Amino acid sequence: MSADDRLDLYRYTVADNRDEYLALMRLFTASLLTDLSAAEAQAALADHGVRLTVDEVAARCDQLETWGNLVRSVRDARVATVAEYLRSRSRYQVSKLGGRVHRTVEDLIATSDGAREVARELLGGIADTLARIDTRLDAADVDVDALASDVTTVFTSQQLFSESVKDFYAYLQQVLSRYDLAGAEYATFKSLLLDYVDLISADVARHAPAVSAGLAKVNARRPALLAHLSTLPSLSPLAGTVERLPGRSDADWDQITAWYDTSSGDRSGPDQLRSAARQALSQLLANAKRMLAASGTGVSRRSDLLRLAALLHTADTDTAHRLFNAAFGAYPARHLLLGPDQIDPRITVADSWWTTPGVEVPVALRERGDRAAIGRTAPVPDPAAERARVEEDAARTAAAARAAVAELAATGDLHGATLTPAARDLVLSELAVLLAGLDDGVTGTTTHLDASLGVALTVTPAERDTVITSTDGDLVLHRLAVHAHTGTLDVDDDLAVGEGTA
Amino acid sequence: MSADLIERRDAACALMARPIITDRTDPATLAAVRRHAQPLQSMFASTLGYRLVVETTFARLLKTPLAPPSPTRPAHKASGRDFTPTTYTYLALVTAALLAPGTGEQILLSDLVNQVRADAATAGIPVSDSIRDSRDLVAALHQLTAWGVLAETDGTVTGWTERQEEALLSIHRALLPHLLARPLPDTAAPADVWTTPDADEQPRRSLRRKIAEDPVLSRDDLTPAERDVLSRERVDTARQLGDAFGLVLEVRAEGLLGYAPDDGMTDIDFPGPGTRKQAALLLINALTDIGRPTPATTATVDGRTVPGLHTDWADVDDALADLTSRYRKSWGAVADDIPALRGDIVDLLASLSLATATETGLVLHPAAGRYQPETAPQQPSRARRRLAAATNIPLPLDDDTDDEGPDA
Repeated sequence: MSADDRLDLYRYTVADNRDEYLALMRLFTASLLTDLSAAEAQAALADHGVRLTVDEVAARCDQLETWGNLVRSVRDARVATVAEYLRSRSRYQVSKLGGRVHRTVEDLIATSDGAREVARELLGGIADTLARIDTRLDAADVDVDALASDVTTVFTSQQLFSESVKDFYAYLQQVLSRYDLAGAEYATFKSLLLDYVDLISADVARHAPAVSAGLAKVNARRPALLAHLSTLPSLSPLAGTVERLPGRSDADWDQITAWYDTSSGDRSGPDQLRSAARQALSQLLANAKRMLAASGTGVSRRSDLLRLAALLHTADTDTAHRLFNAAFGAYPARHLLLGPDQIDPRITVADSWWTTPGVEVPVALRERGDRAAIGRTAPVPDPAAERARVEEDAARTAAAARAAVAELAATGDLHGATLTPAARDLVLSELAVLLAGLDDGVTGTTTHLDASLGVALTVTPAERDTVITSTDGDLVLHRLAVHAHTGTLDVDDDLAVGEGTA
Repeated sequence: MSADLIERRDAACALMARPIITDRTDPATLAAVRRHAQPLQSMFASTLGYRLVVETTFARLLKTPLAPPSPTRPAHKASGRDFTPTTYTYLALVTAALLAPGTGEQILLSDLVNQVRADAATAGIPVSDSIRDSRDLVAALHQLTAWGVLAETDGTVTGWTERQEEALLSIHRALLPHLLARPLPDTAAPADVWTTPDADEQPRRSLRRKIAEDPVLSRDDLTPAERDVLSRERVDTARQLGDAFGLVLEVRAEGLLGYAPDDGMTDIDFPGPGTRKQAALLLINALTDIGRPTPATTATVDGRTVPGLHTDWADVDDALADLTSRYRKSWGAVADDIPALRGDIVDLLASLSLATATETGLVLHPAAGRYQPETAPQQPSRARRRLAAATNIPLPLDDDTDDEGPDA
């Protein structure tokens, strides 16, 4: 049968008359070598409570035969009439694959939703059995039957163990991927994980090396072992391809060795178990973190919200508003605005609102209904004109000062000189600075330099007075000879005296 | 007050105004809240009995339900209109869908909508593909985005309304468990959700809570224990609220309120900018002028006699027509539709507890009297007195210069 045809064997589980098919198959697989005709099947089904006519049963059996679950059986019988002969021709029995498929289906129906226990006790058994195989091979007279039973035991134990482990971890994965584990459920799964998984991992860690060692020893003697096993009577290969018992071929031993081989990267059985346990634990931790992050008890329950939805649906508007406020508790506070910052102590609690003075409402609110200020904003004054005027003044003053300096420099010796009032004022101010810097009058030749104007005055004590004439009066400097000249500051800060007229 | 305390008070006001703050929506305020997390948590717990949850990425103030005399605070769509019950239903469904097992940190919009539809089918709520339902769904998603629960990572949510465009949303999973403030009681009557079983707890705390959340309280709205606390410990209460939030307590014969001298802790600014708010203010003034209420004025609301000024609807309409004719130029198109304007104004005043609409007319709460322009006659200044004496012209009795508007 091709693969497609084999898959047809499962069709009876999802067909329309599924229950009837299942009942029929149960009947046929009840005991070994059951073969029934349609009539007998119908009678047996009626005993089990499934009511069908003989024709319907015949039709079902035909369909099952098309799919491959049943095969016609032949029984030679002597019958009296044609009808009986025809009826006796259609006898059915279950086919080999049909039987296997039905066993799987029954298992599936009967299995529980919960976790499956892991057959961890078999691991120790496997290790012991391998050791026993090794011992048997050492004997002079090998007990082949016992050897064969040990070999079969090893393989069937291994198969049961790996299946149960796979089932358990698949269940675990499915549970831990839920987001809404909380409280008691979480505690159950936590204990399941931490205790049971720990147990399994401990057992595997304890026995796997022993099994590996045992396998290594047996593998070293595999040719001898296989030779012994082949001496057992078995089904001849002439009867088509025979499904051998496990452990009779190299491939089986290679497979089981590979399962326990921890050196080949991460694909060995114990390594897979370990990584699965690690993954499950990290899932658990993520769940725990999520629960802790939800900070204890939040009371939103899905069922509560659905009940609330039902209540809201049938409520009127006002009730709906109030329900919303009450259930969610997320309403804003509401207060009137405006009032004096401090309450007036003259008002007592017995006064009425009608007679006490009101609060001041801004005129804008009362008249226009908005709080914005009205009126144009004042234009920003332009400082440019002001700046220009100030600059002009400054330039004028500077020019006057420069003219005074030039006049002084041109004059040189100030005795008997005629100066403009501006120049004379300049002399006075420079002289004031000079004299202020001296502790006890002019003792010797002193020079004062005004570096910003570029003018220097040299003062010497003299016998005569210096008289300076100008349009608004004369200036007499007693016993001083004053000489003016230009000057600049040198880089070395020395006074560099410019050329002045004598 | 030191800058630190001022910052803490501002953070407290921000939390009262927006109880859900995330780092996506408001990082500056969140930083301030986290800086003062410890004192804020103890302050809220002791002053108002609220629990404050502060995490690295969000801060959530869990408030207790509002009891009926308090005005409701509806959620708003982008257009400014209130949520309808359908929109609220979608909000609850979307939040439930976000909590469905198997949702991770991100979700496609189409997946979310499928989950919502599946949940609605389970809960027996009919939902459809119509434009209106899509709009409600999008409004609910916008509210969750405004809270910071969802963020639009790729594409926008508004594209779903017309064209069912795909978008990628990131979920703030840490905040999801804290969206509902309290477990929902197992009941079919909505009123059970907001009648808190611990209503007989400390009257001080519940009084402070009422003052801090509601714009205006009447004495009738308080329990006897709270009235007792108010009469005996008014100064203490005022001081605590002032320190915590900057509210100033104003107590009068008819009731009490806490006002904010500078607006920080309210979602509606009144008096405030805008045509409707100005119209409401002017209408209050006009009605008070017409009615001339005294401390003894009462009105009947729902069979109870409460202090307040009752004005017939006809008179209200007349006053409003008068106002619109005076302010037509600045109000523009709003002034044309008087019934709609009246409806808006009445809604605004009701949401502030300043007025109640009855069948016969509008009842103004006495607190509306605090916005009256100054009508008490002022003492004439010395210059005026001298002028009057010199020229023998008598002083006017009612010197209400305020009514002349800006300085005439």
